[in-house]
Formats: sequence, C-alpha cells, structure tokens
Amino acid sequence: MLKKRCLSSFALAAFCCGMLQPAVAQQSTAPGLKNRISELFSSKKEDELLEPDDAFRLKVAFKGTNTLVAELIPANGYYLYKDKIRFTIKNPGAVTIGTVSLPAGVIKNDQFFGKMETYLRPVKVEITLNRSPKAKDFTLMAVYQGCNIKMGVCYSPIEKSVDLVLP
Amino acid sequence: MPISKATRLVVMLVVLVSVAAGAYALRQKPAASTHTFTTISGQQIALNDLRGKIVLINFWATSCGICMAEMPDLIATYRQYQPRGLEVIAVAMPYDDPEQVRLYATRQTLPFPVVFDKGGDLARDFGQVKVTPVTFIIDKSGQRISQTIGIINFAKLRTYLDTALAAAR
Repeated sequence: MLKKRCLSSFALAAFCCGMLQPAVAQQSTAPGLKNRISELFSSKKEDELLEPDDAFRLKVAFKGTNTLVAELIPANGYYLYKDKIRFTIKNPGAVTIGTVSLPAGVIKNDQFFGKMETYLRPVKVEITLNRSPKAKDFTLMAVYQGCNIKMGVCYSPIEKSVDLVLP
Repeated sequence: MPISKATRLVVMLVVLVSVAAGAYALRQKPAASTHTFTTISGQQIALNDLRGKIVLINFWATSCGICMAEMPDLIATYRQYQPRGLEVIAVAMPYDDPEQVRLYATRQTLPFPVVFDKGGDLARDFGQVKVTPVTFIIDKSGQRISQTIGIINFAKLRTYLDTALAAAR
C-alpha cells in the first residue's frame, strides 16, 4: 500500500519536474520544455560558446620605435577571417598607419562563399607607423570577426581600442 | 517488507522537494514578447498582433555562411506551414550592410518579412544575440519558448510545427 502511494507520489513529482511531459505535444512554457524544444531544433549539441573576448583575444606590443605587432589569438576550435581584420588609428594626426602585413592564412572552402582565408592559430600582424617627432601617444582601433568551427556560428565583428604610448 | 519510519520520512521529503521544484519551474514563464519590427519595405509588424500563430524569428547576416545555407529550408518551411499559422521574421544583424540585405532578399525572393536591425535594439532585446544564426520560436500565446544557436534541424522543427499548429490555441 505504502509502496503504491510512494510510486504515485513519485509520478506526480516527476510530472511536476517535467520528466513525464511529452516532448512536443504541449505548449507549456516551463523551462524544462523550453530546453527540450531548444534541443529539438538543434542539429548539434549546443556546446557552451565562449564570450567574444575569450573566443578571440588581442595583444599589442611595440617592435622597435615604428612598428607594432598585434597578435590575434583565436581560442581552440575558433577561427578568424583574414579579410575581416582591420586596423586604424583613432583621430590620426601625429601618428598614422603605414602598412599592415597579414601573413597567409589557411584556405577554408565555405559552402556558400567559396574559398576564404582564415586563421585557426594565433597570428601576428605587423603594423608600421608614420610618426611625427612630437607624437607621444595614440589609440589603435582593431576590428576582427571569426566563427566557431563545430557549431558553424559566426560572431559579430569585434571592435577594440588600445591606448598606446610611443617608445 | 516493512518500511522504516526513516525511509518514509526520506521519501516524503523527496516528494515535497520535487513537487515544490516542479511548481516553481512551471511558474517561471519567460516574458511575453511585445516587440514591433519594421521591415526593409517599411511594414510594421507587432508581435502582439501575431498571437495565435507560431512565430519564428531568425537572426542572420549576409556574411554568415550557414545562415545562407539554411535559408532555402527556412523558405520551404515557411511556404509549407504559413497557411497553417506559422510566421517567419528574418532579422539581419546591425553590422550587416543594409543594401546587401535588400539585394539578397530581392534576389532570393524571400517570401517572409525581412528586418534590418539598425542600431542593434532587437539583438539586445532578444538576450544579446552575439552570433548568427540564432533562431527564436514564439508560441501561440506570445511566449518566447525556444532559442536555437546554429543551424536549425528542420526535420525536428517540422515535427514540432505539425503538433503545435494542430493544437488548439
């Protein structure tokens, strides 16, 4: 008798927790069903995606007095598009950009866009600067965009500004 | 076999906690979506006016390969289920080029409304959409019930739509 009561109590509890709900028949908005529906529409298991700043990191350092090295670091399982990388100087005046040298990337055959040059590993970008003798500091603006390999999703372009003091 | 008092107490506690957790979970409904969308052709669409329908909102970008790849399936799904109560709104991300969005919508003759999220308010309001594609489903009562990051499994979506659109409001 008690066993029977325990079983029915468990069934009630399980129902309340969403364990016994049919997967798609109900339009309840309980979080349990929400998760189940979310899984239903995904082709792949939704891994935790990194925050943009963790997926793609930027380090900037001087190499000599007139050259900057900007290192873009995609996390493991992420890549950057070469043609989406841009460097500019905010309010250029005493400092302007001369050249930006991006090394060759890895060719990715995109099913929609065709061949795209990408970086799956950290990449060092050399930026030469034109500077007037009076120049002291400036702000480097960087824009870059990348994607997650496994899920195929692409991030919004990331914009960063880095305040630098000339050596 | 006799059941001890301690076992009975543990079972009752488990049941109580489970029932309380279930009741709490059922009470936590996501806020009803009340957004208004302005399409690239200037049409205003208020989500409140779409109550009783299932609304699929797809955040995409013309620079997003898998967004482009899933578009034909999205079009086919819309054509199949729109007469039964499905609405689709395709929201292009704020960083997209509005002219490219317009051009793509025209070339592909997208049959559903296309919105350019100028300023990014929609991406922010839908929980900070940071990647594409992201697809939301809003049920007949206006509740946002699903978020899918990445390409949609259309077979599973159709299974859901078959059931949900057949159900009474």
